[in-house]
Amino acid sequence: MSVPSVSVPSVSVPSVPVTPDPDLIAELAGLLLEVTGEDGAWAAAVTAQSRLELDLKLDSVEVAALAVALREAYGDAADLERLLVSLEIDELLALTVGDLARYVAGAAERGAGAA
Amino acid sequence: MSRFLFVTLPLTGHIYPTGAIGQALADRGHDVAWVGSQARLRPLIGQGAEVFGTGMRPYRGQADTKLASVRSLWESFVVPFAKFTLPSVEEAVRAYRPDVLIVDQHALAGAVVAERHGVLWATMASSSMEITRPYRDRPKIEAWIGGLMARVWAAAGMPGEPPDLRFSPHLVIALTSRELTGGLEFPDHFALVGPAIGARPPAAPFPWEWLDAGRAHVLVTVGTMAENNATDSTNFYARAVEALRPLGDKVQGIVIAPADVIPDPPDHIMVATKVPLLDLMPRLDVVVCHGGLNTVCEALINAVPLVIAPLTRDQPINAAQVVAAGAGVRVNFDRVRPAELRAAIEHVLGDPAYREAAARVRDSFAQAGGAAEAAARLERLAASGTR
Repeated sequence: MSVPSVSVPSVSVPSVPVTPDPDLIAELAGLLLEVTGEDGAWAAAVTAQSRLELDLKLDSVEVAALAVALREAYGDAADLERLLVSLEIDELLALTVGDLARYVAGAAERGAGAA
Repeated sequence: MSRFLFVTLPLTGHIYPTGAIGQALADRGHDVAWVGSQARLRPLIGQGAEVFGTGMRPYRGQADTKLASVRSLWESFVVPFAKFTLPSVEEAVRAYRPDVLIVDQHALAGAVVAERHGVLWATMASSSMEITRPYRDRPKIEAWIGGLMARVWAAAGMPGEPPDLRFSPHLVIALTSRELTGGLEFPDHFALVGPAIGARPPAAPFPWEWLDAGRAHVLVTVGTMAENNATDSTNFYARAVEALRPLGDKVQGIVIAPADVIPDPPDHIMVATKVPLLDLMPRLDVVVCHGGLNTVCEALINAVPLVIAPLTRDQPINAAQVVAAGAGVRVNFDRVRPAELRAAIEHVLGDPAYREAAARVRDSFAQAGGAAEAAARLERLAASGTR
């Protein structure tokens, strides 16, 4: 049986580690602050290495809010749900703020390419 | 008259409902037995029950939360437990010759043995972990679970690909109701019977005279599995006591916690290791809890609204369902601060809509039929004969 092929833009996190832009990390920390209701000290401790679930303890409600916030900030190509769907369980658990930054940066390029 | 065999997990919240349904089956004249850990089963379902022992291996306590808990549940518990219990379940089925196996949704050995010997089997869903298919939007997680089930199937020497061992094709008994599952559709062989609560061993004593009718009563509990999470780094108990501390003029708090976690509680807060929960529930105004399905249902069956701080496994799902039903609010277990928790408690206490919504869920439970309805569905399955 042949599987119909669908053209989907790659959603994988680049395998070549790219150092995320520190300004973008700070922006993402600000969005995380909004969706969690934490304080400035908490946001200041967010780094590129912070894992969303295991370190920052985001719950599903907060992840959903983060998806909305990312879309508003970076456009429809910054589709968090699409990223999450593409990941294996171990990758989901290992997902960091730096991974998000790379995904958002990639989304900006994809968005520009589509325009 | 038919013969029913429960295949159980060594978890309190999963064993109690089998006791209630087993009693309902016995009341209808059927024979009932259990296979599982003798040490766990006997104190919960009674010394007189017929039990086929599986022995008990220590499993690491549940320290993970959220998705990490799903991974550890399957990799550190469901899969090794299935392999460990398979020979005992085989032996129990050979010795007891049941007409129907009633298999806990995560006791996969029961499903494998039933399929191998062509015995009718029902799934017992005592948690919300699978029933609402929380990962239907995460195909890679579903595929990973499928791979683990295939591993259990192959290890048992079964050929080919397994059916979904979490869902019997004959009957799935789920201890929830449509008021909680919302708009989801289920096939006809899914019976949403609501909570199955039966007789329990004599309850712990309680100083009933301490309860002041002029104040609201708030219970704080994290159930039987989460005590470590609540006392360790996050110290949920201490935050809950701080939340209740300034409310002494209008609230009495009952905190179920290990001894000495709260060294010096104020007069309006009682800290106890054990309380007669089912007797206490009708006297409560709000239950603050982790969102385990048993605690949630025991509150709702008394129309008591909830403040849920979910940690692990199916608890976030239960919390979302309670919020959607309007019967409570949700806070983040790891980081809710006393002031925010206090605001949540006062909000639920102050708005009668929460209790009204909880009463609607209570009514839906009554309509769902509980243990008696589960027994009736199982009886019909047995009567449907050999497959």
